Amino acid sequence: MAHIHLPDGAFSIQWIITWWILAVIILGLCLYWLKKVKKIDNKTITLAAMLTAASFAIFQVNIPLFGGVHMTLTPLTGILAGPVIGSIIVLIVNILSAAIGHGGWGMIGANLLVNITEVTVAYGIYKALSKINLDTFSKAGIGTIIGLLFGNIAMLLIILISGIQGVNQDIQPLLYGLSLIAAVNMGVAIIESFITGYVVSYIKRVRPDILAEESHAGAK
Amino acid sequence: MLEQNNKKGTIIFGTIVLIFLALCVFAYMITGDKGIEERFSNAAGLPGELEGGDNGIIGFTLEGNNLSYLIILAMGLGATAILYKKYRV
Repeated sequence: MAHIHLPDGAFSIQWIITWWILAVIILGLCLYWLKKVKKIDNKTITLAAMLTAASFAIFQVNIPLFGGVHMTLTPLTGILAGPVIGSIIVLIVNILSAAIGHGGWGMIGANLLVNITEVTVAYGIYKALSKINLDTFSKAGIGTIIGLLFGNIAMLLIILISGIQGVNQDIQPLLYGLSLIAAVNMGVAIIESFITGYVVSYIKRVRPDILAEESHAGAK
Repeated sequence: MLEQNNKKGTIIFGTIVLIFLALCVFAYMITGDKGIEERFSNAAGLPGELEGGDNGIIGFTLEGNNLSYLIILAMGLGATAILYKKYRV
């Protein structure tokens, strides 16, 4: 997964505000869509609560791989809940994480944009692959890897655009260092892709109504 | 047909996994064994934060305040259980 693990103060105040404003606009659109276009039902509320708890639980665990890494389950959130509810889930998880001291408050805006990218791309890829009839495990696995790849790209771009306060470093070594982080993160993305693949396949087998595509098919 | 699609999916997924696994191992060999915060600090040119001390359970450790984590997690699971029971989903 991609998450900006920089302390508060690493970004200047104008960039912290900029990323927060962008994140708030996206979240505002999500809430508007939920209020006006798609009314949220009881099943979705329960699913969102479960995904929030699971994502929060997993995200705080430092996994002893490649020196220490984290997972967020953002692609799983996107595939099961969709990008709109998924964006609200990642907002709650980021706030709760900052509340227990994992990540800075100022970084929430930027990290939200990274996580929303992961949620949205994973959902989009999973949906797009449904059209060519791949098996559920592969669709979810590919969606996860591509979603997390785009999350890493978003993370890289946000840091490059913001720059690091108080550090006199050229863009080239920064880009090189961040690319290495993104590449190591992709190793974690592989593990996450297997977990997402198995969970989505299992849900499709025992509770196909939970998956959005199945619900739509059933409604037709 | 279904079996053919499963095979196609496995091939595409397997290829992507192998590409990113090779990329990850290559990057890990360059950077060495470092924690995520240390990796970030090094890349950004910030003074390095040395992680360590608590070895956790077989290397798995918790970020942030452990007690707050357990309280929030218990509340989250409790809320999920109540919603699950109430709405009978």
